[in-house]
Amino acid sequence: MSDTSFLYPFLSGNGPASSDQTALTVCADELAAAARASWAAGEILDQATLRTNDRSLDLAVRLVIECSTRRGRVFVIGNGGSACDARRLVRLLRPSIEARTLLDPVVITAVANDVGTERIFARQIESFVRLADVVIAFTTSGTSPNILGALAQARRLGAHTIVFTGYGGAALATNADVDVCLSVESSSVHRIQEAQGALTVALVSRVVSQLPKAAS
Amino acid sequence: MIVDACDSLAVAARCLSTRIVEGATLWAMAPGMDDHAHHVAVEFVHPSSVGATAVPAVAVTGQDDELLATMRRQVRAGDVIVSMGSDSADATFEVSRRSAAWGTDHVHLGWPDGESDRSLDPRTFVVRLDGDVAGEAALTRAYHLLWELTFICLHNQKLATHPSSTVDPVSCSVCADEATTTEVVEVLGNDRARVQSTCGPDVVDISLIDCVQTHDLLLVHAGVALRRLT
Repeated sequence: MSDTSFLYPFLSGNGPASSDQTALTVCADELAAAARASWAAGEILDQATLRTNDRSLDLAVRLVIECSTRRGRVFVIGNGGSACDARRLVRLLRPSIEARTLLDPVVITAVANDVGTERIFARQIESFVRLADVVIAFTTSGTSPNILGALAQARRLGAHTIVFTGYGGAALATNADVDVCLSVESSSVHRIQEAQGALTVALVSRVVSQLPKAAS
Repeated sequence: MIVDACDSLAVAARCLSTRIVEGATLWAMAPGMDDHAHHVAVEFVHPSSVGATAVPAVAVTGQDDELLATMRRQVRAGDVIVSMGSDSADATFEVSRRSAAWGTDHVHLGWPDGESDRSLDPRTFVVRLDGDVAGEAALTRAYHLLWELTFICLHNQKLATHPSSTVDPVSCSVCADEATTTEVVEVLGNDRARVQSTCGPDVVDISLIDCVQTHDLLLVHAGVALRRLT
């Protein structure tokens, strides 16, 4: 949460949705000022995230390139906004790398309805993932049961795993099912996703710049 | 850049929150980057973890012509369209110039295309961002902040007031009275056409204009189309 969190009381559960609406007295100018403060804090977080994850990014790049040279495939997963971030990574990787999401709503609702939401990704990984593949997961909290289940399933199948997460890595930094943990030191879901966006751009940029040499 | 973008975001958030209170649906599109459209929609529909109201928000996806066709078919007067990406994307450009006829507000989070001479309608709320690949991270930050500011406004009544437009309405060149931008829905022979405007469907006289076609934008005053907007 940024220094302007007092302007977002509803984000901490104490806001007008559950208490007196007159408690909030921001004016229009403060609205723009709040945006500027959050924006600046976000940019600082992006840069810090890129610095602290530099070595992990290199490891992630190596896994993706090795996967590609072995004719493996990259599968990307995430829930909600993180599902959108998964789609973005695939969109940016696709010109260079065989990558796809596991986000077909028909499959997901089928598994969620008949088995449970915790199996929506693990079931698909069981179907698609092979030894040479890489599974990449986006999770701001690092605690989503369906992501943890998917990583465990990928590990059982011998695939490599990369996670983008928040809260400084939380439990995923030491999770035995995770090969590379790219983490953001923040507890704000929005700022985490934005910093993960910066990591995504850096990852794709390094893969694209190193792929031709690896391929040749 | 940050200062301008944040000032624009504050204005756009006040517009958006006003329209939401009035019952608007939010339509999100990002030509060539559908993932961002989905992200905006999920932000507004599903903020349940913070107890915020669910806003009807829809991701419109596909190629430019599909985007425009879907918008034309589904948006209603009072709705808000949020577009993202390059200013010169066909769908964004067309949504911008047609919003007056559709009665929608248009918020654009994006960057200019240096090679294009197209410019968006002055009534579009533009949040200006850098336009390289790294700019996509800024785009995500922009719509996250749009959501945050909109919800501050929604929970603070005095902020949920649509800022007055800085653009004067288009005037009739004969009497200086206000003229209306309309989109042709169907041509009814040589001298009449069914049109859509902010005020709803109407039939207007098109005898002063040659070769009117479906989807043309016409400037109408007192039931008569005065000229075609190109």
